[in-house]
Amino acid sequence: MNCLEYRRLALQDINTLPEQAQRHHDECASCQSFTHELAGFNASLKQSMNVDVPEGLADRILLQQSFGLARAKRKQSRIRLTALAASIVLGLVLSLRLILPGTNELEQTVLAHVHDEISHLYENRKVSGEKVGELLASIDTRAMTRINNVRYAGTCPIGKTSGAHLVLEGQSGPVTVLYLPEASVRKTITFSDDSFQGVLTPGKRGSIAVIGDKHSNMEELQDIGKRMQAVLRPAA
Amino acid sequence: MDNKHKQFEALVRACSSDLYRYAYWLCKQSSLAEDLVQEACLRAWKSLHTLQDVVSARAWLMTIVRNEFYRHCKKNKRLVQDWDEHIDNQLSMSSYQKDAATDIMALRQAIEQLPGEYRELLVLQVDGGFSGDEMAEITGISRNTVMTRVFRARQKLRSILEIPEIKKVDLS
Repeated sequence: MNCLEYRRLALQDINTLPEQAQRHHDECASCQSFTHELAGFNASLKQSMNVDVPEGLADRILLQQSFGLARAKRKQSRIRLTALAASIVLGLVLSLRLILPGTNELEQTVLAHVHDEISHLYENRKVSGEKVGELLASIDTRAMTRINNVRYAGTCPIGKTSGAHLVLEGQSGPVTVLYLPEASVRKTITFSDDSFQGVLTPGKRGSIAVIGDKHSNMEELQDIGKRMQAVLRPAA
Repeated sequence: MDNKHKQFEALVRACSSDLYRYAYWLCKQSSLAEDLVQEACLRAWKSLHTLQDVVSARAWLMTIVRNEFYRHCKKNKRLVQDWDEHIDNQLSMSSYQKDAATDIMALRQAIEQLPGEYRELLVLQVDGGFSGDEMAEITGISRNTVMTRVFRARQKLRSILEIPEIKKVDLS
């Protein structure tokens, strides 16, 4: 190992240097001096990051949480008083759901996942087609053609199932594609909440959810859904 | 007090300062940082049953704070990069003068000038003491990317502070 390699590793994490780097350090006076200077720099960094924490922060958090609980309890007692009315409404809603395609559990799970992993919408990397292929292979899936303009790709648990999470560059912003090989839907369904809208499409195996911002173009989301439907296949 | 309450209180008391500092370095505003931590803790309370390993509780909470920050950016229709530019402009208009400032203040202002994706990882590593694997888990990016960004963060800081970068030092 040379000095340049050693210093690159030290600048990444001085506390977890591999054995080879340790050996270089022990033999190189110049790098020992560099390490000493870097340790001092890190100590100053830590000190400067130590911004004042508002006094009583923990108490305020606990207080807010207990107020939240009290509100929830009051709400619960009101709910009991209106239980009969609620059950009638619930009955009505359930009846309507038999007639109309409404919001089901999978759509809620998909939306909750996008909210929970919202930071991926801000990923701005270019993930290569090969990487996407490798990722899909890890869940026994192959892409018949290369999937382009991918800003994020990962596998993750989505509700009770697991699948692939891709973020594509859409016409008017990032578009999330969740491929759920173990969760099926019988037909294409659109859904939305206050922030997002999307489409859930049956795949060759499982289902594909395509979700965009609530102002995104639904036709574009549906097109992406159809494209994914054609491209994603179970690995042989 | 039941077990869930006790566990939550212990978590809040043990981690709220770390969470606040992380939130502060994400958004660089003290009042917003406190709001983010409060919201994140409420969210954590609601999904405390999903926390299976107490050892990773701090990383779990950091992830929730991070998501809260991104949720805030989305709600306010702001890109994270815009956030940085906005604050950086404020910085350049402030009475910041490197020579007059103390070392710590100069360093703090240099950290503020780092791009958000570098700054947050440096804070997680230096202030939070998280390993590369833990930072990858918190941010959802690969360990290699994490370590490259940490390296670049230090290089950029050294460049801002006019400390020689490693490519420029005299290597014996």
